[in-house]
Amino acid sequence: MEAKDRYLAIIVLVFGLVYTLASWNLPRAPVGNPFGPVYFPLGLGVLVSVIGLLMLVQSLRTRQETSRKPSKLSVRMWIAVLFCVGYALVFNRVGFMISTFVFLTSFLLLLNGFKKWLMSLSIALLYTIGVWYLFEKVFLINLP
Amino acid sequence: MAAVEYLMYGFKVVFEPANFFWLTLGSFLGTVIGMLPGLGPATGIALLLPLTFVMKPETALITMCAIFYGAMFGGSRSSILLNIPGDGSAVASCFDGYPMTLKGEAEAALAISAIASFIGGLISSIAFVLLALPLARIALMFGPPEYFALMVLALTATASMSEGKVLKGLLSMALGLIVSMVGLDPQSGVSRFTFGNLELQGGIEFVVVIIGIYGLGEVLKNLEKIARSEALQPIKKKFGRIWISKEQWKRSVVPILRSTPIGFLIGILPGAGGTIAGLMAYNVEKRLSKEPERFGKGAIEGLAAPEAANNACSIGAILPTLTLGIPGSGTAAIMLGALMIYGLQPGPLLFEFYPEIGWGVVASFFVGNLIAAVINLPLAGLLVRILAVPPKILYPLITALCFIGVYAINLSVVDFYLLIMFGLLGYAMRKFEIPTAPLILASVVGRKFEQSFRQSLMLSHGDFSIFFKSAISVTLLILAVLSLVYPIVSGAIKKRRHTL
Repeated sequence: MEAKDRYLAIIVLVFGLVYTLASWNLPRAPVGNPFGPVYFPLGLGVLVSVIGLLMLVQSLRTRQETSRKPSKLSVRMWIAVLFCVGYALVFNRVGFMISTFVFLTSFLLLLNGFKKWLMSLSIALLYTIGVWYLFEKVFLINLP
Repeated sequence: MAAVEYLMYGFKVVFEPANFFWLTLGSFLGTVIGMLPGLGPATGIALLLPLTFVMKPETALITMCAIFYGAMFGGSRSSILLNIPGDGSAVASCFDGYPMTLKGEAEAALAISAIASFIGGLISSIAFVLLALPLARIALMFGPPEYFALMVLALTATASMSEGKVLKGLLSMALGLIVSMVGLDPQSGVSRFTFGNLELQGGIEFVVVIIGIYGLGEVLKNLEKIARSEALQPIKKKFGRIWISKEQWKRSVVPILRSTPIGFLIGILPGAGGTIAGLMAYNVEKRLSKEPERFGKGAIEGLAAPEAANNACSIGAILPTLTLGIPGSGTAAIMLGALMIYGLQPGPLLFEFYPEIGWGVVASFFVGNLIAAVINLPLAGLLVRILAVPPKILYPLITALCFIGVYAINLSVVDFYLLIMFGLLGYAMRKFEIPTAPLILASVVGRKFEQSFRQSLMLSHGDFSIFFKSAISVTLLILAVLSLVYPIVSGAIKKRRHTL
């Protein structure tokens, strides 16, 4: 049993309790059984809380291993996530072509390094145009 | 026999030019996606799902099925040549496939895997034809309480099959159901967990969940991996004639015939997927073999067995999806979701009211398996070159495709943020070793699951005993309890044996 499982158990337990509370506060149905829309979420909240509790008990009963330091490699993953958020932010403002091209170029540079900038640029350009053509002309879906 | 007549009609549907074109392209794309390590049929279908919305429903389903078994064919390519399974169900193909390559028998390994996959697929398609109508007729007797019980069984079985991690499986299932709760409640109009956001009132589009978890999440997880292994293994690119000798065929034919029913049955059962089918077939062969010491050292029958089983499994998984509306695996759950997007009710009436869809799909199994085999035999040498495309280039392109695919569904950027959230969730789930299949299954059937529960209670005026009144629902619920208890008990017994 690793230390991360204990964190997971705590996250699950807290989430379960919050969800249970939120379910209880759901509006009652104006027609029919007032508790109709509440039963299911409430049951789910309780289920998640119980799962979290059991996981916590399980992780406390077994001795935990020393936790590893977070790897540097996951930094790259988070930068990629930031690129994604940025892409979502500008997609409607500057349009599909520019945003996708910039997004792809920066993502490719992130993984392949700046030395291969020409390759990254050309792949990004070709792919952007290709996808645009496919959606706009073949599938007739309007991109901004 | 009526089934044969329907099947002939199905073949007519398959050979319409548009359908045949997509069937071929789907098998090809599936093979390619299956070959790429880390990307399986679920990812493939998820990425191509938005494209299928412009097709007729039967064309879309035929395409998706083609990707499904195309990936089963392709997944073993990288198992055999690189010792890296292209997807989960090709794990068992590594055991003897890669040793065969090392012995210089890569040609025979590639050939037997395509042949075994083809035979496995063919026999299962026949079994599918024979079972589809009877199963659909049984389903006609189901009312809301029985459907509720059936879904309980499907969900708990999927959760408990998650390789000994029952709690994590159940957690994944609960998360999926929680996702499906978001939006307006169809019975009372109460809005639930929308946080005042109008776009969320219609619920979370399940395509976004799938592309997020299987597409973006998969990429994010793999970003860490590719940094670790900088150098790619050299791949054999030149091949001799890809075929097998008579002696190799004699060794393989019985294992193929034995493994097909194993795979097919495991496919029908909810929860257990191609990985388990392949492993089980491999173990059975090893146990039955007169020379088990050859296994793991390049025994051709050790490759043929899991290959036949995982293909049979993929077709088995589609059977309950189309006839009962209960998917047999994560990938089948995606197809079920797609059916619902087209406004079709999967289940017994599908074959009656939309024969072009039901029987067209069944007929496409036969034709598609043949096409996939043809693609995989002579073109194998050409196709493995795709394995040489570095993931460093591939993953950014896949990420962009995820976003554009999601945009095409609702033309809304709000879905982008949901996509990123589910991508991170998928990443976290892989980090914490939480299985993803229960989540997908639950988010697809979640709404129906709740509705069947509440409809039952309405029928009985709030009396919970309605779930225990019919023999069918009681049996299903008992099976559900057993599926949860069994892994716990068997785990405890194993532990006790260890300590003794």
